[in-house]
Amino acid sequence: MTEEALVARAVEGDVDAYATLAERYYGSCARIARRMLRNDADAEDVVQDTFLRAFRAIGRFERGREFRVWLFTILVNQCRTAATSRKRRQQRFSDDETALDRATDERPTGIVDETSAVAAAVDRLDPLLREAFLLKYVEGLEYAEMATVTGAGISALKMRVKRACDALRPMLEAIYHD
Amino acid sequence: MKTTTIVLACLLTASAARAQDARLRGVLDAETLAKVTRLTDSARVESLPVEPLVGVALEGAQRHASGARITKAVQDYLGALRGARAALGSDASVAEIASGAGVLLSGVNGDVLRQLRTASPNRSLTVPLVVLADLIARGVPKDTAARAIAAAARANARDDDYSALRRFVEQDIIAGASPAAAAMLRVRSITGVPPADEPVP
Amino acid sequence: MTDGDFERLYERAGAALRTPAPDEDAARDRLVKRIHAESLRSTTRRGNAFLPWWAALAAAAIAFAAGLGTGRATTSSRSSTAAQVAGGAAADAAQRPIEFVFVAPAARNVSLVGDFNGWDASATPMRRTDGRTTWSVAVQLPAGRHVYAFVVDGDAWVADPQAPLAPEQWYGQRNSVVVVAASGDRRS
Repeated sequence: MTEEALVARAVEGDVDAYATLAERYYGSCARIARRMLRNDADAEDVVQDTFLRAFRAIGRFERGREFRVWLFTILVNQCRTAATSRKRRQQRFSDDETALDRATDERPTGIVDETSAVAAAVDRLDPLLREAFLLKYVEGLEYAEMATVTGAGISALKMRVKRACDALRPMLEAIYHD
Repeated sequence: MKTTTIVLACLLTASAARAQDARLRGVLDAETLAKVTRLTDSARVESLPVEPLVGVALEGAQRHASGARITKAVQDYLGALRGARAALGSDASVAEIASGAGVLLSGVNGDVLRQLRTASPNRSLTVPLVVLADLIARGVPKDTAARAIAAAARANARDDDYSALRRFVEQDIIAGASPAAAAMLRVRSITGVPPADEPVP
Repeated sequence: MTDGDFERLYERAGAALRTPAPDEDAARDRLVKRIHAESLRSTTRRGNAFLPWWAALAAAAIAFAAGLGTGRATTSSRSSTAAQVAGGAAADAAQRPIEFVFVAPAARNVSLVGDFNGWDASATPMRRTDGRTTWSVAVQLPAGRHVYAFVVDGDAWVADPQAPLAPEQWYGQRNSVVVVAASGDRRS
């Protein structure tokens, strides 16, 4: 069944159609959430919450809109909210994020596979740059779609992607050229 | 000729009033009908839109509201229409006045309508005012919603821009964003101006 | 390295991050179970054995209806007195066909009410389309701002979740707003 047909049935109340969409997009959402929150348990909670919110709101989904973009908009907002809440909780203790924010071009040690190495590199990015990189290079969104998802302008998003790539370049060169 | 014209105008006005009374006569009790008719006649004399008032009365009748409630609704709406016309100018369209009345009923000051008119002297304000009222109804604080719409007006936003703004803010609120943050964030797609708290790229 | 080489580097990194996590299948299964549980919870609360409650209230309508002119649905066979009376100093005389659509699979009947038909639930019944889950009707509306709602099964007045909310709550419930642009005059 085409996605358009699945979405139409989900809007009309077919829970199995919605569940199929959720299965289809779970991976993408999980990838974004894991990198944005840098914690797998938190990421799963946020992804579940995202799909449940979308489920409750699917009746308002406008025909002709792209489901993935709508879903990612909800997800990105949930990730930002979760990250803000966690940061407030953590600020009473030594802040691991501060250490991670001091990005260097050192190759991470103790890493054994390409995915983990790249993930560690991306995790060092400023959250907004990380978000832009994930949406562009991992999920393949167009800039106009990214603008809808993030609320940022296209020019700002292009700048964020550029800065993310500039920061990642030495780390990726180290990962891929050893 | 002038006398004939005036008489003809009076007959036509009376005829229109009787027709509208006929609609209300079928659904309102005598006391409520008399009060509502006095209110619609006041509107007519002041050249304010009458149809929105009749619509409110008919809605109340169909919802089986009490006569007192219907009368109060029409009275309050008349006041709001009056305020909207004063703020938007005497050449405001019926749709602008009705939309403006809705904004005033949301608790927004008439100065906001005046500012919007100043920012958009040659564009219809119907859609911006409808969107402003909708944002407030969805929980965006009045001041924040007014600032967002005013910023969009200054940026020469079109009706489609306001429509998109409304949809995006609604979706963001569903997604868990605070209504205020959603409104200020999404208006940037129209104005191109970043909010104060966004890191400079 | 050239710009093209760098671009391929970033895309390779992106591809690496698309590798599924080891526990992803199990997490996906947990999500699907939660969705079905949520569906049952919502269904039980509203007593509808077959469909989630939000399906009956979901609606799609045309909020800012300029320039659509679909004209695909027939207009109501019963026109109200209110619609026939001239609008006085009100709107532009030119009228445009505006389609209203409402998704309510479990409804027995749905009608459109608004300031254009005296809020009379018998004036503009809607008819089922699209495999019997959707109700629709097209009405001729003059340019301007119109307030409306749907009446489900004769007594439940429902605002359109897809449309702007009318700020006025004269009788305790909000209605919806549609703005019909004047013919050929978008002023934008």
